[in-house]
Amino acid sequence: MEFFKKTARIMFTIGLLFFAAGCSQEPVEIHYASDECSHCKMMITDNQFASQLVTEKGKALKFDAIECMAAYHQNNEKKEELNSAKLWVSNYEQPGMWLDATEASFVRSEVIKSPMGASLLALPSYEAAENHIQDKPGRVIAWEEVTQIRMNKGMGMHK
Amino acid sequence: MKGITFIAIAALLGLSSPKATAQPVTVSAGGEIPTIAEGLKLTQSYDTLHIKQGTYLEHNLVVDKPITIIGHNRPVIDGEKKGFILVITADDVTVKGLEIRNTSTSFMEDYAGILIEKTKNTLIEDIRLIDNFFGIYLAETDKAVIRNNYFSASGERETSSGNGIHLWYSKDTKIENNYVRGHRDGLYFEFVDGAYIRNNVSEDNIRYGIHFMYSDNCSYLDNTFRNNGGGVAVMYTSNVEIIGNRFEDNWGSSAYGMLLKEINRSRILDNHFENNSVGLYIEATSRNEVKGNTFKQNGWAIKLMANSTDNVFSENNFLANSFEVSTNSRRNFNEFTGNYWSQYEGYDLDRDGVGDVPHHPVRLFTILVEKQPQSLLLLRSLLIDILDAAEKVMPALTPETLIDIKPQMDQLK
Repeated sequence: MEFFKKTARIMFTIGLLFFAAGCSQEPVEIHYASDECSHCKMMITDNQFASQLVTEKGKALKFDAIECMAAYHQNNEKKEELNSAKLWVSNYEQPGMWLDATEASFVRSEVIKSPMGASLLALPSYEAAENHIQDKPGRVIAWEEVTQIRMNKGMGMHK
Repeated sequence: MKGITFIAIAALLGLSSPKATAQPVTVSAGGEIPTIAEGLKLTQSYDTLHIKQGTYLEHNLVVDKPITIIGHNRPVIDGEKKGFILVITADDVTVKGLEIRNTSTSFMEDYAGILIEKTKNTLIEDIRLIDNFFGIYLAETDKAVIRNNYFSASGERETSSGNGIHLWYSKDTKIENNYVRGHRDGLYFEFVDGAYIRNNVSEDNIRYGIHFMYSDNCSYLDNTFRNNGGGVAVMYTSNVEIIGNRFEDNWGSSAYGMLLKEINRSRILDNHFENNSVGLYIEATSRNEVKGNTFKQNGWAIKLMANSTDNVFSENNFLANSFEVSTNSRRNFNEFTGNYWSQYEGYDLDRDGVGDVPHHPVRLFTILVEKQPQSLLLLRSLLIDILDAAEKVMPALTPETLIDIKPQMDQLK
């Protein structure tokens, strides 16, 4: 009987752990060259631009580019699950490191070839973004402005 | 030597020598002009630079005047991973017969074996581009021709690999008879207009065999795209002609023979889709003609999303696919007519070659799998066969209008 109690307790603890893990809104691992973008269906290959949106329940939607996540967010604003979702973007200067989109600074720069042509990259701070455009063309924008970018042929900044 | 001195003096005096008297320049490893950089300086406009056999360790070679560069017995230019190799910035440049290897790789700069920027009438022919980040990179070019070249990169990591042939804002480019392997995308087009792409083979690339975005009025004919990570993607584009290509062996969770997203007024004719997870994936795509294609042994021959309208699918062969057509809605705004379906079980009593009862390519099980992917486990089970049979008699869940009223009794062509 004692044995059963012990087992039950262990099981409960393990269960709790799973529950906790299941509900965190931390970024999940992206399997490059296998996962596909939830917005444009393209295969995700570039860890400088990959983004993800993690819902309150821990479901992750993965994107190949910041502009795809922004577009998806626009198109699905009415969905309740997106209200409390956390948005993660890749740190352009340290690929593989995740930044909270609402705290990151973004650079729009015609010399940047982001996967969906919106020329967007993300950096951890306003200073880092300012530094980036010291020697390259571009301007610093915040997440609010990123969400206004529309996916269409006018996405390219050129001409 | 005399010739060289003359040219050097002429160059110094700023004489623009007429074509007839200009002297070709020859670079050879142990000769008077040992480096290509020097050769480029000495070659005058509209003249020819000959490069003899040998290995030249040079990079960032800028071609800023209209000249022809010819390699004899395929000399090798090795960039030793120190930057770009050949950078062409002048009109009317021709390059033939070289091997170009080892550009830098970087995630900040798009280093290329040959970078062609803001030029007209560039011709690149019979070049071997080995282990470069980007193979040939064209930006804002007009009427370039890329012909009979061979591209190979190790393509081990998706992030350390650029594209084989990369076009950005280029017009009227001809791309013929090239072989590309081991890059990120074999061929890549962004904001391109009027490209003509023929007889190329693009295989074993990490992402796409060919990747189109925002590139109108292009045509690609008779190409083969095989065993690429994601297959082929054509997106946000109007008026494309996709004719006589082969899409083969593209397997994986995000692999498609061809992925069409937001494609309008295009023609997809006489292509062959074989051994792909999904032969043709169609999303938000309208007013296209899909005719005379063969879909053979794919997981799904066609996945047609409900936001696609007014596409006509006619005279196609559907042979031995696990699923013929899948969709995500009960409504259908597309037309299927006169196709041959190997899963058709109807009869032809009046012997006119057309089945007497319509064919429903979307099975009940297809809908089930679309909603619950795990149910794929039940493929080929008795239960599913019975459900499918019942659904055929009395359609309840499958789109009623997604039918072919003229299913062919015999394979076409």
